[in-house]
This record gives sequence, C-alpha cells and structure tokens, in this order.
Amino acid sequence: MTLLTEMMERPLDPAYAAEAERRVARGLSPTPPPRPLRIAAILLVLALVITIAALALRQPRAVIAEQKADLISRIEERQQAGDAQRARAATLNQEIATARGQLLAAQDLQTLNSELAAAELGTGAIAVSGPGVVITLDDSAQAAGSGAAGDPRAAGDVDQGRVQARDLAIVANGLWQAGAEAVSINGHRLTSLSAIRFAGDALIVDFRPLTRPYVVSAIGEKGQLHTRFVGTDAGSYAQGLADNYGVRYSVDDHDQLTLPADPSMDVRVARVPGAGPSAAATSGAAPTTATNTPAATTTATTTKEAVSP
Amino acid sequence: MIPALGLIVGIALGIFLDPSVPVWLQPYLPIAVIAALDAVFGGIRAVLDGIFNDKVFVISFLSNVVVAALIVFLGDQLGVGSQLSTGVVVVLGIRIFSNVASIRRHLFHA
Repeated sequence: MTLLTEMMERPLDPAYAAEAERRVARGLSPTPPPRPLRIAAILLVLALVITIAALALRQPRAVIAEQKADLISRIEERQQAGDAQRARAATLNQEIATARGQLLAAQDLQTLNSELAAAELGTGAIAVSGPGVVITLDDSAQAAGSGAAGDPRAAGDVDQGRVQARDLAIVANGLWQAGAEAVSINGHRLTSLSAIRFAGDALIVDFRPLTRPYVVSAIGEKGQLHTRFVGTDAGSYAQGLADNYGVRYSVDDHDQLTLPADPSMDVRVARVPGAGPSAAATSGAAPTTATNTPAATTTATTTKEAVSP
Repeated sequence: MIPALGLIVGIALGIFLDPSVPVWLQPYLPIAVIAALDAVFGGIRAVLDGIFNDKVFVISFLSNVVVAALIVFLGDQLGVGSQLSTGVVVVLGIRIFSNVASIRRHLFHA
C-alpha cells in the first residue's frame, strides 16, 4: 500500500522540489533561467523516439497481413494444382479404361470386361449417372452469419447450428443403408477408402476441405431411395438437426444425377491371394493374365505395356 | 517557439528517416514511449508548479527510459518480460494520470 500511496500522492519527481529548494536556499529563484535550445533538443529526441516507436510497432501488423495473404494465395495455388492433378488423373483413368476395354475386347475376354465394369461401378472407380436424391445440409442461418471471427463467448450456441463431420458421415451411411449405389459429397465420390473428418471448423472429405452448403448426392432406385432414407435412423437424425438446431436440410429427388469417379482409387496393401507379391504390378508382366487384381495400379501398368508399342 | 520547432523536427526526422529498429530493441519501444510521456507530463506539471528545472527534466527522462528498459530486459531474462512490462506500464500510467490531473487543476482550476 505504501508504494501505491506514494505513487498516487506524489506523482511528481521529488527531484524537482529538491532542486527548487536548493536553489532557493542559495538565494536564487526556484527555476533556472529558460534555456530553450536545450529543451528543444530534448523535445527533438522525445519526438524522434515516439515517432520511431510508432512506425516500428505499427509495421508488423501490415507484415502479418501480408504473410496471411501470401499463405492464402499459396493454399489456393496448391488447391488449384491439386484440382488440376485430379482432373488429369481422371482423364488418364479414362484413357486407361478405354485402352483396357479395347484390349480385352480384342482378346475375346468380354466377360472379364463386364466383370471389371461392374466392379468399377461399385467401387467408385468410374463416373456413374442415374436417378437419385440430393440431400442439402447447411449451417443454420445464425451460425452461417456469425463467421469464424465471431464472439467466442457466443460460439457455444452458434456451434450447435453448424453442420459437423459426424452429421455428414451419418447421412452418408444412411444413404448406403437406404440402398444408394453411389454417393458423393460436394462432388467428391465416396468409396470404401473415403474419410469424412473435421479439422477445426472445416469439414474434410478425402483430405479436401469443403465449403457450405454440403450437398450429398446419391444414386439409387427412384422414389424408393428417398422414402427409405427418410425411414432410416439417419433420416430422423437429419430431421432432428433441422428441427432442434436450425440446420438447413432438404431432400430432393432427381431424375438424372452424374457422380464423378474417385481418381485416387488405389489399393495399397491388399492383393489377390496366390498372385506374386505385386510382381505383376512392378514388372508389368503378362497383361492378359486374368488373375491380375482389379487394382488401378496393376491395370494401369498392364495397359501401358499394351498401348506403348 | 524553439522547443516547438524541436518537437516538429523530431517528428519529421522520425517519419522521413524511418529507421529500421532491430528486432531485439522492439520490446523496449513501448516502454520507452511510456517512460518518455511520464517525464513530459512531470515536466509540464513542474512548470505549472513553478519549480521546473531542465536538468532535472533531462535526468528524469533518461533515467525513466533506462530503468524501464532495464526492468523489461531483466524480466525477459527471467521469463516474465511481459508481466514486468505490464507492471511498468501500470506504474507509469498511474503517474501520468495523476500528473495530468494536477495539470488540469492548474489550468482549469477544476
């Protein structure tokens, strides 16, 4: 308390009073005669210090903004590069499929060809189209308006109206349950290897962040898929989200939907029993061996062998 | 007149030279500014009290800046730099406020 009292009651440097007293004791006036040059020099230094400090400390904010913009542009650049690679992979897969189809047709292996086609249809290796439903999920109006930089104290309430990875996963699983033959979220085809995850506030499907609204498209029997989905647990869960948390949710029937292929179809570990340990894939031997796995890598290698001559 | 000129020249120099402050010095800048302001308001109050002394002003200005910087430097070495900065800002801030209040009493008699 002494310190605080001292500070509050005698804020002025005691040296001023002491110096004045000494001068009075010596018979002089309490203040020395004004020396404007000296004071001007002090004020110059003072103004310099304050200006330098203001300039130096204000700059980092601009630098931070610059770095942020740089990061954002780099993220966008990489995303575009990734999109381009995906598109290229899709084209290449298409070429491979065409070449393989020709090869198999030429070698009278039509059954194998149709088996492959059926397998690809199921696994999501090729684009498919047909009738189906489109389920649209979106954050509640309140949550969507608040944005990420909203008041953190209000976040508890707002988060409730936000679509989460779990919601999407439940809806996707509900669609499979209702008999969907192919499902995609915002144009990302779901396969047996797909992951629906979240990182912070962002939803991630197959390592690609999604932006709202979240559109889940599914191909299945016309009319039936819708009815059955609404009857599943996922259907009532989604309806519950809409009723309780204000999540915007709608199910629409479509006569014609086209779902893209998943270009990253790949089997990393599994292989057909009996076949050598990925010997076929690495050596590219025996392009016509019917026992080769339907894995994309194997087919790719064999087809390349067949095409190049 | 001449002191005001000094002030203006100082600001102009700071703006036009725009010297780059080394990173290690940057944490001390806000402290230096607060300490300088404290000395300035102390000086103005002394003028109004009729006991201003330019020698005391210079010494109080320099010692304020040096001591404040020293405290922050020590705090940085001990890992409590930000806390000690806050302490310095609080103490000098209180002093500035009460000096300004005293100046206000002198000028407006209120």
